[in-house]
Amino acid sequence: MEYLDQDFQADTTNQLEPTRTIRQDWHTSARWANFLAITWFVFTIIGLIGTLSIGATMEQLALLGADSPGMELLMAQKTPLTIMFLAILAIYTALAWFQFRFAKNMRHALQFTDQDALEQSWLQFRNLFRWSGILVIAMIIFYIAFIALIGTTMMGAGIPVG
Amino acid sequence: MDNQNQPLDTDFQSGSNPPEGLRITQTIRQYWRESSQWALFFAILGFIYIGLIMLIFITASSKLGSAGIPIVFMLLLLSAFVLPPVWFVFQFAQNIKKALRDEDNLAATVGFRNLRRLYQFVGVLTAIILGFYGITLIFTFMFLAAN
Repeated sequence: MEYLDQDFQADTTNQLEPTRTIRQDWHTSARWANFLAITWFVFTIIGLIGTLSIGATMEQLALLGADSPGMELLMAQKTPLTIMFLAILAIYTALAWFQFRFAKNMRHALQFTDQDALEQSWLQFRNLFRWSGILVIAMIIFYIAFIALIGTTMMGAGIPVG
Repeated sequence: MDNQNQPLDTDFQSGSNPPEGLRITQTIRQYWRESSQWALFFAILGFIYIGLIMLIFITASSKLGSAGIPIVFMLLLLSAFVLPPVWFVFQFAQNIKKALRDEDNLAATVGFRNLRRLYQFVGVLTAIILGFYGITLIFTFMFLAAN
């Protein structure tokens, strides 16, 4: 006796394919990624306004009488500080852009079954992870170098370390 | 007139079948491979970070005795916020690697479920933080207006 569905195989193929469950997870991930990207953009704009007003804020502080040696030192470092903050903001903008593109392409790919958009989406996702990783490695190296510098300075000055 | 010779299941679409056109190409597999490697790197860093934080807090609380209870509470709070995303990233990385190695669709499903959870967790946390910022701003303006 044969069953009508004896030849039917319900998703047991040993092949990677975007099943409905996977597509739903991609869609939800893309929606949250979009929200996070927009939030990052907003905070980047706020940060940009803050960075561009560093000079004006320092001058206001100096006018208020905060003309200590520390303040003079900070005033001298105004331009390098601004450049450093702008560089950090540029990195965050790039990461937010990758996130945004991942979300946008994924939603487009799922809505219009667009293979190119799907590939673009995963490319942006890879870029997001890759550049975040490079940034984290750079930060770790920076921390280690900073700690080593402090330690060397302290030992040079005869201050016991630890 | 309808074609009577076509199979009965011509219009049948299994819920698990991908829509026509969407495929997991070699290019996508390569992107997933690289993404999972970076994800594993982040997960390992996250575990090291949690371990270091725990070590610091446990040492501090043991030296402080009963005064260290708030520190233990802070440790638990921090773990509750940091551990889930690290775990989701780890699970995503492991399952995607397995899916690519064994052509395992179930592992891919679990991997992407963890990616979704990661995004949901970070998204909800961000929304809560934004909510707090909003409330703080409202109260600040109210305070300034009252004075």
